[in-house]
Amino acid sequence: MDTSQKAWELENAIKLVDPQRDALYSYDEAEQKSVADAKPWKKDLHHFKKIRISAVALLKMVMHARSGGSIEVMGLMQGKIQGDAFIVTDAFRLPVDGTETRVNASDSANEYMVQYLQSCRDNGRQDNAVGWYHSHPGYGCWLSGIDVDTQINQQNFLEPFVAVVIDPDRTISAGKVEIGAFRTYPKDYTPLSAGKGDGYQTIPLNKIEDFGAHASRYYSLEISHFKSTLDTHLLELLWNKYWVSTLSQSPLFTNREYSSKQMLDLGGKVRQAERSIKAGSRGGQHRIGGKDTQLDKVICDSNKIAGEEVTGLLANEVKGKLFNGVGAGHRREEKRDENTTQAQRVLDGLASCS
Amino acid sequence: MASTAPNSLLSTHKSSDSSLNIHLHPLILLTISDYITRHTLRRYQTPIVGALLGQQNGRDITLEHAFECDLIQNNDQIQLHETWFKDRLQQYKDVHLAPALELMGWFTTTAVTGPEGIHVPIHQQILQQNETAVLLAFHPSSVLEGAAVGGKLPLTIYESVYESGEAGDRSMEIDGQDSPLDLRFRELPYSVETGEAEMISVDFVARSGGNATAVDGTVKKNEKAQASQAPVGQVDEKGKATAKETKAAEDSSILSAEDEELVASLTARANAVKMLHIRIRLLKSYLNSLPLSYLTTPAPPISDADSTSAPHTDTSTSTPEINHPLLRSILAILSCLPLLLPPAHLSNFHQETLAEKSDVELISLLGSLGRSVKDAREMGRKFGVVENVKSQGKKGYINMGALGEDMWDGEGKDVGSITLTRGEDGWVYE
Repeated sequence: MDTSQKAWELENAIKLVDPQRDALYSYDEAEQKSVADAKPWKKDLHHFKKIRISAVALLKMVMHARSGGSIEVMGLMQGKIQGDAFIVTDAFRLPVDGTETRVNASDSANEYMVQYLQSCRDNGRQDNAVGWYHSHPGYGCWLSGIDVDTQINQQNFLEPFVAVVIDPDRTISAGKVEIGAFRTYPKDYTPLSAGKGDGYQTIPLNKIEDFGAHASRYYSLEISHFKSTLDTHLLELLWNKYWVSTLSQSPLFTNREYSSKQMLDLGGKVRQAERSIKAGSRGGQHRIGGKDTQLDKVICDSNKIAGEEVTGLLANEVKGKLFNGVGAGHRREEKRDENTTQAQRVLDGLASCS
Repeated sequence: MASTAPNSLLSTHKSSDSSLNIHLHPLILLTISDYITRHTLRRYQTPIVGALLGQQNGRDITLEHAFECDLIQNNDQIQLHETWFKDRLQQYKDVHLAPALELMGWFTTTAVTGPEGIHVPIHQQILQQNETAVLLAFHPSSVLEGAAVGGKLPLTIYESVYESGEAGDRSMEIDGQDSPLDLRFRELPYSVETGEAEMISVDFVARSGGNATAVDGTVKKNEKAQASQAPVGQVDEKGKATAKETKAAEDSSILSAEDEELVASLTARANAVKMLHIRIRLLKSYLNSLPLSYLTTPAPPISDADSTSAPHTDTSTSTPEINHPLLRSILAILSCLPLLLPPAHLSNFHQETLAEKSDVELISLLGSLGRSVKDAREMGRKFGVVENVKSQGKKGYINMGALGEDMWDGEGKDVGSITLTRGEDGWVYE
């Protein structure tokens, strides 16, 4: 057994892990059970404040969301609880047929979920399902009415549970991951601070009603990410291969469709804002609070779009400066030849002197 | 088995004709590393084995996903748990339908020397499902030694071939019977391929992910050390700040969110350019270290070498071996450079870039227009307020309850009920 241990390199593998810095990857069954029994979230509806997502889980979710294209996709996350934070260590897809407007977990998905978790346990992996994720391609990270109802349901039966939303289109356009994590309040509870300015994000016109109607029924959690020491090391090595694709990206080109949709949407919003201003000029109603909320939002949107486009253009400019005309080195070569002929002349001169 | 002799399982034939192109996705690396970390911390005793999923198009194999596997011990041989494996594979295939993924191979941890005898049973199990299965051998020992190998990933990919028995078996040859086929592993070159979404998330995690130290959430003081992403939309370093504090922080921060994004992307690009610069410098220094070319420099008077002899047979100095394939590839790169922007397409390319640039400028113009409209309206509103105050002072009491409603400005002061109509560019009150 000793030789085979050596062959499997288990000893070396163990040394790669730092028990203190990678502590989130461990799983203490007794501790989790005691947390599940204590149920601190029942007393404090705002108990969970944070969520930490591992590198693997994030990568899997983002790739799944992207692979769906413009169809919503859905999956589950596994992990554990720690204090007031969810720790997500892994994610897996669910075979759900999403149409463009709604994603529902059907019976076959439930069956899949049970089977998958069972085979995980057979393999010795006791992580429970701690949440679900789905994608909102192109329209931001928030919970729609259906999502809120689904989540309320799950918070009743599957506690503790968290909902995560990813927007793959915005991720690619902005160059950073668009992700949001939420927990809902039960039906009859209104939060003390209604709409505490969660941070602005642009919502397309056709979804804005859905967004506004349910925005006060849930709150968002603070998201942070983590990775293991081995991950860090591998990622450093990967960067050696990645810098090529970073430099060769053309974000303006890849995101053409998405940016056109954004512009269209912006146009619609501007028209709406204009109409409401004209209508309100007789009654003065829209001046409540002294601010043009609608117009402000439109302007925020256009700033954001302009920012993204400028980033894309800069990428192209950098590429241009680096690589355009780089082959036209004839002139430089001629100069070099000049130098060598000069050196030759000097050498000849020296030779003739001696 | 832990011998220092060359690994008996490695093929001795060169792999130049294998022609399988392997494209590795970073998710596989992260999955393996996640598995190793968890495996260690949870103190499992079983070996680290998992399956690789991907696609195969002729000679191109992509490895995109991986999952860990359940193992059983079958009289001294470690093998995959068949039913478990089949179920799991089916589960994965169900959710990866477009594009459809298949079993492409398996991974495990080995020493740098390569696979050993105990890896063979599992490999044969996998071979039953896919004849061109590959083995990805992860080398923890290379990771421990540090990236001394110049940034090479600590893994090797092997394919298996059946080769006829070695020459030493000649005594076994019997007429009419073929010598037994042995399983041999052959190393394959691989490349790291990535989609756009993958690259962004990997980049994101690499830069912003904190380490996985377990911190009790109820102890508020210790949270400061880790970078975190505040609730949707705000980029905030403080983590625990309440809504008011974040607003104050945002107001006082010099850079807006868009500017910060711009800075981040420019920094990433700057890093990439630095890498490019380092690589080019490396090439240049290599070329400079080579002996002088016999074409452009005069032959030193001592040697009688005629000009057709190869440069490295010069007598005086001990020259390093010239790596001709390397020089050929350098020359290939240099000759490709003009093709980046062939003169024939120059004008079209310029047109396109110009069009793109004007689009972007148009959009930013729109942005600044929007800002000016907003400022103009603000100014108009404030002007209206000031006018009202002045007129109230002059005319005295204006009857309330007339047409229109009470006007409140932002500070909550009642400015009285006035009929104000908005013209195209300002307030007109009467």
